[in-house]
Amino acid sequence: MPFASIHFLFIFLPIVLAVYLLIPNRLWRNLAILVSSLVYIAWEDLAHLPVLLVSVVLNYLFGLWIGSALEKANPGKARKLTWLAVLVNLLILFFYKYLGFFGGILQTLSNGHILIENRALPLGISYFTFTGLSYILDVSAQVEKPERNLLYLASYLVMFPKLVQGPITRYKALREDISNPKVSMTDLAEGARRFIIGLGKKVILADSLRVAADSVFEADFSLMGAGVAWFGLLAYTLQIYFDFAGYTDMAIGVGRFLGFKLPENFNFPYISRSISEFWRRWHMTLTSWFRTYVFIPLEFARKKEKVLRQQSNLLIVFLLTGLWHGATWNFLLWGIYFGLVLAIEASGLAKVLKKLPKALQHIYTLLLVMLGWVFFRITDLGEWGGFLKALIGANGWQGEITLRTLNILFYFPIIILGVLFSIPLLQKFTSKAEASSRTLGIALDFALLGVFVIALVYILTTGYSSFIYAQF
Amino acid sequence: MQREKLTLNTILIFFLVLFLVPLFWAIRGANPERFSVIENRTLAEFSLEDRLLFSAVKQLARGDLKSFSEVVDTQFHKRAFQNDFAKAVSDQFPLRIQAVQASKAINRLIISGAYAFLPDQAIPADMQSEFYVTRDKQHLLYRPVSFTEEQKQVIDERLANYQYLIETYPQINFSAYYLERLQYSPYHPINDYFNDVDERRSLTYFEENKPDELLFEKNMLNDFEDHVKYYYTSDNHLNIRGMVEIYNEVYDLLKQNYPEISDRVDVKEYVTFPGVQFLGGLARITLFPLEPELFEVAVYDVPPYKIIDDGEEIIYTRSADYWAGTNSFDRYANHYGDYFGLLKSNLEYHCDNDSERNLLYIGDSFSIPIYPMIASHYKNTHFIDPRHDHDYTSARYLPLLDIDDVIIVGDATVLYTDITWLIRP
Repeated sequence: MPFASIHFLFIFLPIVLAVYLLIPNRLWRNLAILVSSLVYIAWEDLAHLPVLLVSVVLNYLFGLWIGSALEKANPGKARKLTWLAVLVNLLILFFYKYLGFFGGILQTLSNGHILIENRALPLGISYFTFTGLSYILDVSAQVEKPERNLLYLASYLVMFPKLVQGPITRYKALREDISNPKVSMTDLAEGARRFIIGLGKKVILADSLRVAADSVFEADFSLMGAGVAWFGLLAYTLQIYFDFAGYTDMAIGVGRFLGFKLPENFNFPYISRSISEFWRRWHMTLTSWFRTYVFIPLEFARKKEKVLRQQSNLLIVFLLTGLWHGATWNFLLWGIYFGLVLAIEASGLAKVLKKLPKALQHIYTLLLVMLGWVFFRITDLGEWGGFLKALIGANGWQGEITLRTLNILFYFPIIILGVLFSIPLLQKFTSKAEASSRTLGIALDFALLGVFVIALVYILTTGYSSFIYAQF
Repeated sequence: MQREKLTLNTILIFFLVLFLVPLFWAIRGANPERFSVIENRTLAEFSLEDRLLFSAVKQLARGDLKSFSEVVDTQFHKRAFQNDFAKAVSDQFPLRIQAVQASKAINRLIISGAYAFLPDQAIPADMQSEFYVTRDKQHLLYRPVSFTEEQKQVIDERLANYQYLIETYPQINFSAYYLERLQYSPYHPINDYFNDVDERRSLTYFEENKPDELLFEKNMLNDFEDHVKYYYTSDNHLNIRGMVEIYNEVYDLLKQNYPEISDRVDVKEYVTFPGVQFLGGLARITLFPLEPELFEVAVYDVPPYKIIDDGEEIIYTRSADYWAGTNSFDRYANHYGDYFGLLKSNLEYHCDNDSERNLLYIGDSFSIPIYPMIASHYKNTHFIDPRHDHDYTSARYLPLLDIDDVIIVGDATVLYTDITWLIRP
């Protein structure tokens, strides 16, 4: 049930909100979150609902057992239980997400004697696995106390606003809200603003840019000039940002409706001046997760190693980051690519970069990020060369395929709009306007309502289907 | 504090909208919108499937686990219920068509902005379809068609098929009539921006390689004005004047093998119906705010005839409604289909005349307005659209129905570039 769908907006959300706001009791509110989340999951992926429930119960039990072992001053047992819990979580993830991938490798190596098929992924499996892992690891590190109330932990782990695409939260960030869920008028208003912004990013910008990007990436690269290739890559660069950031805004907005402050996930990543800065601004909760639970422990464990320790750790972290995104070679190589760039930056390039003019730092970062999106977008590795050739103008500036033949020339104004919204210029303006004048504040709210209406009419248009040959 | 309160109230309109829409559905209840004239389709409703959840729960309560699991599997696990429900929610949304029109208007602004400083004589009419509108906003057009190597191979296949038919049925006369559409012609206003545009190349290839025994005639555009004259401004079809011209030329073609053919049918007059305005298929898809045109039909006399569909006599058209004034007056109504008849895969016209000959007429919806005129010259005429008649084969039709003449009438797709139009052996 996507947030940007009519049935979510006008059936699911009003029912959940009405029930949630009418319930005064905090326990019942948690129950409402849990039930609504289970309905949300069942609607999308009924078959895998039991997997999620088993994962919740296992994490709950492991949390208690680890906590109990620590209370009894038995760190050895706690460590073993922690490893077991991590293993169980990763096994579930591996079974659904990676078995097919590694099975494919085995199949190739065994000349087809070993056959393992890909499995359908349970909804949000990467996110709920990482959320569960962070809970277990925090309990084990005594950063977090084990949650004794199963309802609290379950409603935290399966909470529908963040289940499918994050943001990845740590329990300590939401524990207080979960144990005492409260919603104020400010929460509702701020949530509505954030939700509408996200809806606009997703429906008006990302979904439009998707058409432009898909047209380019599905065309024959050998007939493509550099102009079209760059247009498509720019469209995809903006699409992936507005799609993901839009979803996050909506998730944060829905979270606020229920009284939860979910963490930020994006901070204008395309204004970064280095790749390391980009990863501090892009998918921040995932980067933070890997930093906390993989990179820092690796640095600690290998502290005696002096040669290329940080670089190799970065490479490991980003190899895992790539693999987390998907069990395919292109994601793996995309992760390694960023790992290498970050390792090079850590080896001294970052210092050199800082001495360059700011514009060059931005260009450097954007070019490398956009190159990364080529690896991310094109799943068939054999096609990379063709597109890269088109990008560097091997087929000239204007090939046989043009923006007109692809019928995407009219996305140009949306790309300009996308560029404007991907930098903090408008945000600065609106913040200043709100602070300086009451009328402007109200006008901005009306503008947001206008964005909501436009997004709504765009959503409804996708259901419009007049067929020329319906009757002939 | 006052500012915060006022601003809060403003944004809370969002929640008002969220709750008003389900309230609207609840109030309207059992009286949903059932048909969309513009889209020419039945709308999805909150129907019985909605109650399947309750039926599943009831079955569970009765202990009927098998039925329960069947409902859960087909309706919920395989998402039939979810998909139907999502469709109904969208289709039954208040002011849906107005919302779609609004979004199309926004898109037109974006398109105008993008093309503001470009010299294109026609620009995209919307963002979803591949239709264009002339800069003067008078005509909706298809995009120019390309001519590729793959199409050459299809043409070769179609040519071989014609050759096979001619050799297999030497007693039958085969003829083909080509009508040129703008997107295949050299006169499309944006041909220059497209590579490999057809510009009659496919026609030339077909003509150069067609069997000599295949009688062939063509109706060509001489310029863009010909398109304006003979085609609807917002529909893919030829208007009635264009089709009458086609009839006259098809008549001449048939006469070459059938000299004793009855006299040509003359149009007595062209009439329009008061209050009936026409916006066709391209306008319905793009929702481009074109001025509707008058819906014109031809008046002529033909001998009495019966129309048989699937073995039963039918009243094929709703033209009588127009003469009685009981037709739809919605500008987006499908007047073409309503007045002339909707395309059927296989129609038989049995005409009360002196002819002893039977005709197999292969064509698309373009030909529907002239069915009665063509049929008036034959004893039995079979109108076939092979795309929709999956049982259709030449072996089935030609010998069994005692066919004397076969004619195929249409554009490039009908005659040679589309394999779905192949006359299967």
